[in-house]
Amino acid sequence: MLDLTALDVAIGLTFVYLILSLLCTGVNEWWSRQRGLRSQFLKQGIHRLLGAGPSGNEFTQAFYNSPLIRGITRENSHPSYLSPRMFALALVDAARKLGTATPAPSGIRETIDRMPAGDLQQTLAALLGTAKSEEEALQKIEAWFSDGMDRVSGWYKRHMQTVTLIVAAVVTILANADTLAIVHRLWIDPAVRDAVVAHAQARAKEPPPLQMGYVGQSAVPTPPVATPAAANPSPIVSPEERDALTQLLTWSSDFRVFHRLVAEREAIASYRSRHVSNPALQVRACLNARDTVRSPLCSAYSPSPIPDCEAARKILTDQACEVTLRKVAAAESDGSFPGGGLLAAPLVLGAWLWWLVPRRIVGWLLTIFAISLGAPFWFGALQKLVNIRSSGVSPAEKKPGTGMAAPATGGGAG
Amino acid sequence: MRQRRTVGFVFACLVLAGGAPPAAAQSTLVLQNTFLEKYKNRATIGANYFVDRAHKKPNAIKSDGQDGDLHFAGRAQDVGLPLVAEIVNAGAGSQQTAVAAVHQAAGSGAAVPLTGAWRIWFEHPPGQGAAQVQGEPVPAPSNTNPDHVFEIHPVLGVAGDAVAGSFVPIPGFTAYDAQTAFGDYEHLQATIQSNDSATEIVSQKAGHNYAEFVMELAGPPTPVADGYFALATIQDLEGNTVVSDPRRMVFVAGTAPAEAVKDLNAGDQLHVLGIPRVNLERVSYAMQTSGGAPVTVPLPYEMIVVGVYPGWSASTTSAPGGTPLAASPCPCASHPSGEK
Repeated sequence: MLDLTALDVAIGLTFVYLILSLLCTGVNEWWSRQRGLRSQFLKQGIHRLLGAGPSGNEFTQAFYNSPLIRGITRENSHPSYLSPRMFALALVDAARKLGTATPAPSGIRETIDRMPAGDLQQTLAALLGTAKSEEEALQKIEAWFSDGMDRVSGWYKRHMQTVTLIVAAVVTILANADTLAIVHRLWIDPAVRDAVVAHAQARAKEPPPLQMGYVGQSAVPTPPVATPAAANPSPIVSPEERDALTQLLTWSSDFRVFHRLVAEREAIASYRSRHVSNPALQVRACLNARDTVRSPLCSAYSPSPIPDCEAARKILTDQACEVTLRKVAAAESDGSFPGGGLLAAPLVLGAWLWWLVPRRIVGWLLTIFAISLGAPFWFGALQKLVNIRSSGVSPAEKKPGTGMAAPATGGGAG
Repeated sequence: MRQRRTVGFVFACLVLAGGAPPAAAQSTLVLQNTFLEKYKNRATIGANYFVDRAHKKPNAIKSDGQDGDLHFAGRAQDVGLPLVAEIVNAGAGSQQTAVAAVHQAAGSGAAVPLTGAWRIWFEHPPGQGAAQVQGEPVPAPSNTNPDHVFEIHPVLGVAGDAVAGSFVPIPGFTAYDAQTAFGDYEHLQATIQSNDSATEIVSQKAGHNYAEFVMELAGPPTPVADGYFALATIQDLEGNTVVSDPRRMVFVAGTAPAEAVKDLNAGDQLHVLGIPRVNLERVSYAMQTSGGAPVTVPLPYEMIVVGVYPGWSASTTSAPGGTPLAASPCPCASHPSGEK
């Protein structure tokens, strides 16, 4: 039978990356909309083309005051898209208004020639030098604009790459998405692995293609009723997927360590209050004694011939140690978010971070790099892996009810 | 060594992701939803048309682009897109008054009333990645065939001169056969998405304008205000089925094809000359079904029936109206066949 463990682990990890990438994409789009990034970059690009600084100049004011631009702009906002033709027409309109000739010339070449002298006028004059007609002049301006917009696209992409990395880092740390821990959990826990793979397979399925034919309809059909799916678009993560991911992306084991550190600190304070010398050492000795007694070498015998075991058992009989161990045991089973407790004990927080970051940093960095590759990359990878898995499953592994013939039962006729 | 591992990792990722085949050049058309909904089940459009450029004489007649049409480019606020209109069979005598009206209007600055079959087809799209957005200022065309996706083709009337008689097969013209033409149409793809106000259609350049084929009706034609729509499968002239799923056929009121189809029923056949256009009814259907989310589907198209060839055994039923047509253009009120 084909061992699919490694493949399932890869599928599970890819699924996690896909979900986190989708979250990143959502945050990116929200950020871009909130900050109006597209319109900001377009404005910056237009100002650069027109030789103006960030706050614009007389020409950019005339440009934006053109009815062509005002017609597509909301009040106090900048458009986020401008077609080359619109730019060219508005530029000529602005040049005409600012030109020195009276009456204003109708031809584009003449209009540019009579613009106020400056870098922009020289640029446009050089650009239109060989234009033989009005249409060719407009096309040259459009091409100049398109070249400028290619640069703007580059700026925007680089900016968004930086934003993507930052968002990926925030998402990764908030989700505690440690690639190494995820792989470990998927490898050792078949129940979690199977659940995640099942969700991944469902997610990898392409939506059924839209049936565009007229089967069963007339040549002028009645419009369809909006489907529930259209009215209620599915969330990025379904509740079932969230439950499966919670078992992989969890802070609970790390918070247990925090709670344990808090319990140890409280125990040290308790020992100090009873004027015990070196309370930290006493608490450590108590905890070590517990671990020693639990070890196979000690637990196999009672009394144990090994002196350390009996010494450890003696320490455990101390009442203070008993109390300490009860509190630590309770803390070790508490995986809840500490809330305000995180900041209430700065030294504990520091100790906890000192323990946490080296353990997680490599896994986090792997995850940040992975999800910055984007959701489309991981969706394609997931589909490929799921297809490999589907083609690798032998008929004997298929579940009952998939069309297999029932085994022969009993003797022949006659 | 580390650099090689990095390159190898990136390479493995690329291999895993798979290389996508290079896409055909794509162009974008953005239509206002009000326009789409108004015309999706209409055969024709009427517009006040400023004729900017007009062919001096019709195209020669041979094959492909030499189709005997008269092209005239212009602008119409009712359309709001770069636009070319074409009179079919423009060399025929019955079209000369309309042709003269076009030449008179060209460059005059006066709009002429124009009616005809609206036609959206990515035959002369703007360049890769470019968009034509309905409602944006339309530049004056510099020739009779600027980049355009919207046509009024065939024209039905110019400045009150009706050219319904032009809706006949083009004498001497070799159209594309059904296998070639529909083999192209059926493989075109489109990505469609919409919002509250507009619908965007992204598709690649298409060709194979005029197709000669046999249509077999899947049901009786449905009358609309300005013509008929009928669902039909497509066959070639040897009777081989080329497209087995019904496609919509468009018949313009007052033309010979409309007269030919109006009394037909399921199973009846017509041998026709047609030109494709984007089926806006299916575009609207796709958007309503997907809730406006982007979908990539085979480009939905329908065929404007420009002419019906005579001499075909049109009816497989005993229903009236299936007699072969005369070759002459149809002053349809006096057409000898089709009377019940």
